Amino acid sequence: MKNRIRELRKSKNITQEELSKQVGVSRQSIIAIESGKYNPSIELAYHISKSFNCTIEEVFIFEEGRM
Amino acid sequence: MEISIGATIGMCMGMICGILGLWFGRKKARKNRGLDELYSHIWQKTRSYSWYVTLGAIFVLFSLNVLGIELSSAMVLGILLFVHIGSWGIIGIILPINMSGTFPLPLSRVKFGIIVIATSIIVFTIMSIIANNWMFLLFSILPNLIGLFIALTANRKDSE
Repeated sequence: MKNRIRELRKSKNITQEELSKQVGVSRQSIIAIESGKYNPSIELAYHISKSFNCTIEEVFIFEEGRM
Repeated sequence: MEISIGATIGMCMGMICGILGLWFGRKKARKNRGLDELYSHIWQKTRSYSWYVTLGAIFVLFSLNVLGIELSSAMVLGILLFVHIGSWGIIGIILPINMSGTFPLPLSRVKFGIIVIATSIIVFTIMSIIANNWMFLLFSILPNLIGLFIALTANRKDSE
């Protein structure tokens, strides 16, 4: 699953550390999610999207056939 | 039956140190919001992988028994504990680095490092059993460190 976290973070001028504090996870988790190595739970995806005032679909891009 | 006071104290102290280490480690991790879902995911995977390694060790020990090498239950349990905890720790170091690194560790290097570590543990375990001297296991420390170094380091070309 691709995501636009880095792009949205840069546009809002938020660091990984600040985003991790906002959503209550470690900075390592944000790095792993940003780089696509870890797909977050629906709850964490919701919190990340909420912190950018976006919907989950706007932040996370589901790729068909990649399950 | 003779009771070894030293071994009993060592076992108790080892358990207490392990529990204290776990408690302080978790306390520090909680402060940095480290006990999150990625943490759970990584340690679930680590436990799963270390069981695969332990299964391999059980197979090797069974094979040695079939070949006629006598193994005491304490020796077998010690080796299995060493392999299980050791593989748990090593995989537990590699997975978080690979997950949160700014670039992925090259898979070929990780695989090669794991092969070096697994081979050295198996070879030196067999040697220590055949020679009936556990000190041979100490010789596996250097190849294990080399394997760990190979697995965790990426050359400059890989990181670009």
